[in-house]
Amino acid sequence: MGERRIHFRIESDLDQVPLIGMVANKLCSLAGFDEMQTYQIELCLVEAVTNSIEHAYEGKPGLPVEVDFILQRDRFRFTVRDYGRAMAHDELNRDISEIFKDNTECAICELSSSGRGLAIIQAIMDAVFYSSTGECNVLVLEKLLAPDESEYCGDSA
Amino acid sequence: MDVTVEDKGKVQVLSVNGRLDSSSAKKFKAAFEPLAKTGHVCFVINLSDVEFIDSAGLGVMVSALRKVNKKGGDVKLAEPRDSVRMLLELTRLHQVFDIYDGLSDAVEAFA
Repeated sequence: MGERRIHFRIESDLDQVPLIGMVANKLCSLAGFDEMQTYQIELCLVEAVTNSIEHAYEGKPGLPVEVDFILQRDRFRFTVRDYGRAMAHDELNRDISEIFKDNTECAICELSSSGRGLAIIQAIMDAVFYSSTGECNVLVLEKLLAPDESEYCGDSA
Repeated sequence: MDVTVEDKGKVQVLSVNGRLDSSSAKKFKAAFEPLAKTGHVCFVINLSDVEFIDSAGLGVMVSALRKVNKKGGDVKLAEPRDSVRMLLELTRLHQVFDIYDGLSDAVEAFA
């Protein structure tokens, strides 16, 4: 089958982020992901788009964030594109276990109230890629379909 | 997203409804901070009607916990849905928040 693709564009306004989340939720549910996987993927898309608005655009409103939902034979691929400041090269190379470290001995006053978004994406998605041309930044997230879900995406396309 | 506040004596119950995320986190702060400023240090966040939470939602709860912990207080979480509990466990924040299946259990834990 050929891939199925839907393109969305929102402005860099945090109030618009739930729209992308709700679209992700519905499409993942239709693709056969279970309720928890659907929630997790919605969460990752929300984190990715929020990162574009808060970090790439530093909260400036009215700038474009584009999201492609691409359903392939064996995976669901999501691309989040912005035209703001690029992410540091090592952001995706950080050790997740350091960010989500054992908190049993942790002093509460040392807990960070931010900085978990990318690590959540890395922990949940099967593959995460990032590229920047200087003008355009693209974060690609992939979640593999279970075999029976892949059948759903088969010859009917 | 809406936050309602219920005064249970020394315990303040914040019941959150809807999505607790980067666009709504400020509403949570607006409900919590006046209470913290007037000396309340014992809080229960009722999560039973939270259908979605992200890292910003976690962030405001952590920020609340840090604020009251300095004054000898605590923030306890009540009735999180499976999806919310999953995120608390993924981020290991279940190790710093006391989490209760029942709202009344969370309130009574301050007794």
